[in-house]
Amino acid sequence: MSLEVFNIMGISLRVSLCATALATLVSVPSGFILAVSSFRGKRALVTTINTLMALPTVVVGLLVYILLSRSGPLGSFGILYTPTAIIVGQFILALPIITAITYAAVSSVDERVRKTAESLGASPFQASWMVLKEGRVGIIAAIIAGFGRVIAEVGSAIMVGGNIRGYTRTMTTAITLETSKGNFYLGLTLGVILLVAALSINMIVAHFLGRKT
Amino acid sequence: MSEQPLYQLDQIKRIINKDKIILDIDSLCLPQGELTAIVGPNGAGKSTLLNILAFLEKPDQGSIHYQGRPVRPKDFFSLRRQVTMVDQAPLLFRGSVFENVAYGLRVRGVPRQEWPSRVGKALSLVDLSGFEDRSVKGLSGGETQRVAIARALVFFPQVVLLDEPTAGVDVARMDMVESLVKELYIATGVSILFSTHNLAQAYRLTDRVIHLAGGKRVPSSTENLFSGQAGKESDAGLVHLKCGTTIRTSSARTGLVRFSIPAAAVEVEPFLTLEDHTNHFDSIITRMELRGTKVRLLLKGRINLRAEMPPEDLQRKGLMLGSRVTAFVPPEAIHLLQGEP
Repeated sequence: MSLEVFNIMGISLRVSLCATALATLVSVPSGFILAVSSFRGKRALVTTINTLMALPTVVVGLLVYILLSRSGPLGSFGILYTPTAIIVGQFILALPIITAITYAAVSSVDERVRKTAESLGASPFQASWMVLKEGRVGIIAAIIAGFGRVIAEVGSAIMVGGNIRGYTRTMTTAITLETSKGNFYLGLTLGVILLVAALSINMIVAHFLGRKT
Repeated sequence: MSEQPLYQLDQIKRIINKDKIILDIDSLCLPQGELTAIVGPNGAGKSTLLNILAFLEKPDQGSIHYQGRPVRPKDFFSLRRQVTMVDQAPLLFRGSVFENVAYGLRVRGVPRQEWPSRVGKALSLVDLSGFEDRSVKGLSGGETQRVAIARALVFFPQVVLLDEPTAGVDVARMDMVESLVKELYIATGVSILFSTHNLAQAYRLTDRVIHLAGGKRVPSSTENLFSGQAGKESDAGLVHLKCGTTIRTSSARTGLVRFSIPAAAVEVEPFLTLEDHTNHFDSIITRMELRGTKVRLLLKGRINLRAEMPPEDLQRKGLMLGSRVTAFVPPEAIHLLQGEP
């Protein structure tokens, strides 16, 4: 059993870290651009992104299922009931969270940071990088929040992953399964292990932040 | 070969909100290697002018020549690396003093092995040697300002622009900043431009003073700036100064007004006993300086005035340091800067 738990934990961490990393690559630049630019409809877009943070995981699961099912527009890829399908679902779930919190973090960076960097000879890219650096605590919080959202979600993972033992069974889908079988003790144990894993990752990040700020 | 001016600005305009002109400079020529003050009240356009001189802001109209060469929009980034600006409330990036001071070297790609010596030299210029490893979080306001100046000096800029370096600081720190500006100017020979709303401070530090008001350059470089409450419609033209004196102007304005009196327009005569005291001020000559072909006088009385006159007039009238004089300000010489129409 313990080997299987390790296996499930490994799958959970692999798909969630992968989904978070991919979402970070898209969301951090998006949140940054959203914060530093001004355009018509910006407020409506921010409101929409904030609303999408509350997107139900089963709705995302359903949408991804429709897209990836054999008769769906992306059915030809044949990735339904694979870890990749879970990553796609979790990627969509993490996007608005990381974007919205990055937007808030960059918006709260002192406006003088960019001007100061430019007055010291920084190129537009170097000045933008400095703005990102100054807002890094908030941006890392955004990534942690995104990771927290996807590691704990079950709706999407169970719908598009299929909870296949040793392949797409994650910690949350395993907890759901054990609970449905009446194994509450095992379900709780898995929940505690999941929390300990999330705590460990947060402690590593906190240690890193403590050194850098 | 004659040296090219550092900046030559012609017909510069900065417009915001489609039609609000916040800066309108007909012509401005700044020579190289000078310490120059830009003086004016809040909203005069000092910061906008400094931003344009720092190539951080593009004017909407007009032309800029830097060291004799016309500045095109695409030149702004490269020129920004030759000029640096320190804000009135400088911002230090998170991290150590060393990281902050070395920032200009980092973005210019200066080899890392050169950083410690150059940072050390810059910090010694502002009397902060040994502060390299200190976190910026624990610095006092004065130390923050000095670190910001060291950060601006580390890459040997050709021009240092200081935006109101003494705004909102106590007297002790104002003395420190003034001494620092003067010492830096002497030690580095770099061109320094600083903005201030304190006319006395500007003249304490330099004789090259540019006056701005309402976004425009006030023509005379030697003038008297005053503000006061303009009278009601019944006594149009009268302005009541804070010191209790009333002065007559030729402009019928109401509310708070600001105006300037060119020093050359102030008429100085040996003390006269007058029945009509309008715009006549009983004063003492407290300072006399020969400036070019004229003598600049500082007159102390109910209001302090600067006046200018040729040395021969001074001699003819028998005026000397400590003489009691009557200064007359012709209403038509008073240049209204701001006020409600």
